[in-house]
Amino acid sequence: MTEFLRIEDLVVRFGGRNGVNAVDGVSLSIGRGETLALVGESGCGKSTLARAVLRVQRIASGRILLDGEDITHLSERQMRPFRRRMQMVFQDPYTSLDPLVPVGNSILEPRRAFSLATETNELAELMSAVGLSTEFRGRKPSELSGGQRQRVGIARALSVEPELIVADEPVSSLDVSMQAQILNLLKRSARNRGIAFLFISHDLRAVRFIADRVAVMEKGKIVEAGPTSEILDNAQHPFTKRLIEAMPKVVSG
Amino acid sequence: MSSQAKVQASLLSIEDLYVEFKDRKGRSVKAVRSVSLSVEKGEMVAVVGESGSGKTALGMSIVRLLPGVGRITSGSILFDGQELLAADDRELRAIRGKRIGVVFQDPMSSLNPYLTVGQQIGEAVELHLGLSRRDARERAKELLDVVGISDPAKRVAQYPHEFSGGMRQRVMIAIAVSCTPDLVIADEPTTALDSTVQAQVLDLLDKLRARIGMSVILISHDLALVAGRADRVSVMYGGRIFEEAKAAELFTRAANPYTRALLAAMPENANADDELYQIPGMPPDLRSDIKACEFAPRCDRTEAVCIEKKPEFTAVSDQHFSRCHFAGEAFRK
Repeated sequence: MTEFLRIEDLVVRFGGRNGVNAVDGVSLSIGRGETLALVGESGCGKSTLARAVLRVQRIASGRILLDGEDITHLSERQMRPFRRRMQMVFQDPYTSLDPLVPVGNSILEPRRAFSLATETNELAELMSAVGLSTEFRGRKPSELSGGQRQRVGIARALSVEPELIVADEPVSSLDVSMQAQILNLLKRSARNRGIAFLFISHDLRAVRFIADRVAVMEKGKIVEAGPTSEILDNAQHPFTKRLIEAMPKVVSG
Repeated sequence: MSSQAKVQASLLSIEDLYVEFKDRKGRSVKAVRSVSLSVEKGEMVAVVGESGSGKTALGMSIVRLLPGVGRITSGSILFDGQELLAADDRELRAIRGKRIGVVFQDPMSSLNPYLTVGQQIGEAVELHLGLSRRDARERAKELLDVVGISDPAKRVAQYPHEFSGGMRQRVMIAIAVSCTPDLVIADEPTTALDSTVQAQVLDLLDKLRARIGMSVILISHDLALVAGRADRVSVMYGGRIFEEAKAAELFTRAANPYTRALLAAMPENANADDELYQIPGMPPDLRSDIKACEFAPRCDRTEAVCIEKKPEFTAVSDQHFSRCHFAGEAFRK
């Protein structure tokens, strides 16, 4: 698997000289078509790390390489071509969608923003890829369920043919049956399109389903990382063990 | 009711309850349809369902805290022998917060940002137990300690924004149990929290249940979350209870196709193709009267009879009921 994203000794600092390192010397990499789950409790720095990777968060030190190119210190203008290649899916698609814009326009907006040519059947293909009927193209976000809005969020991310997707708790606010649909969709999309996928979650059940590898973050540091089954079935670090213990368990027959 | 019957009666007994809302266009939405549910003293009953299943409307009906557009159209809610639907505001106020505590999903929007947590916990015990302001503050400190918040003497004077999400939910629980209630209704109490904090908050509720001897109604969309904790589980769909069983039995021998679908959709149950089971279609439109089984359009067991008539709530074994025309058959499988 060729490496697509590489993070080297990354530090994000909040609060100046006497502040704290929200991200404290993190090194990680994700290959094309690979899904890495970043797990930890709220406040551990996982969302900050994601923001730093997308270059929307000031970086104190360390490096971020995208497809071998160092993007750590690129200007906003130099970043432009890289912006298309990395996309974000948010926890709450409701607050990240414009309430006045019909979802069809919303889905194609990123393509327009990057001046990509749009074929006539582009929208229909995107909507079908995320399992939305084209009847929905004229609807406003408020007319959709949470799961449908998340599909719109994913369609927007996919619309510009990204090579990296960062999803921050994309199923945390959804019902179990909606979660199943969105997890299937994310997994299929990442695999089929060879997208490097950073999946941020506190839910180890979802992580076990979707991720190839897991990195466990505590207080800004990666305390344990490895293949999913190895980490979840044979955790070494006490913090990982604590996370696993807190996972609700169902004994089903 | 004779005094003898009263001794044996459940702490809470809901019979044939109907709740209606008005949507933005003024049409009625029948959110709860003929629900019956009982809760025994000291028991934890989980009500599980997806958004729009009516579980929150059911929970809030008990304390008559439905939003302005909602109303109970018929049914009965007996709490310790008293008909709550006949209670006036004064009688209700004596029950709400004192004998029945409520924990809401989002503590940030149910706590007052301008009052210290001590004031907010104290409010309940001043009002219901007649404590002085000073005693109420002392009681607030004790309660913070009870719910596992360290340094209560300092924390009691702090405001909600100075607490993390999990700590705020502990404050909500402190308020809910402040008057040692008989029943606590917890509506998605941990949905906004991390898994580790979720477990801690639920452990706390469980510990208090044993300590105070109270009953708990735990409302959640997550079957796995209630699995190890509840004594009994009721699964709601389309405003009705579709299955009810002891928790251990529900998870090992679910009888209803909807419950089975929900279990299959859980991320730990991926199939051989490495996919999760997806329940096809959408939940029913609760604005209409539904003549058929509400789940029929999405069910993998649908036959003609499912569309012709509503299934009964059928006993499949001791204390285990399923709303399905094939209740017995599914259970044998």
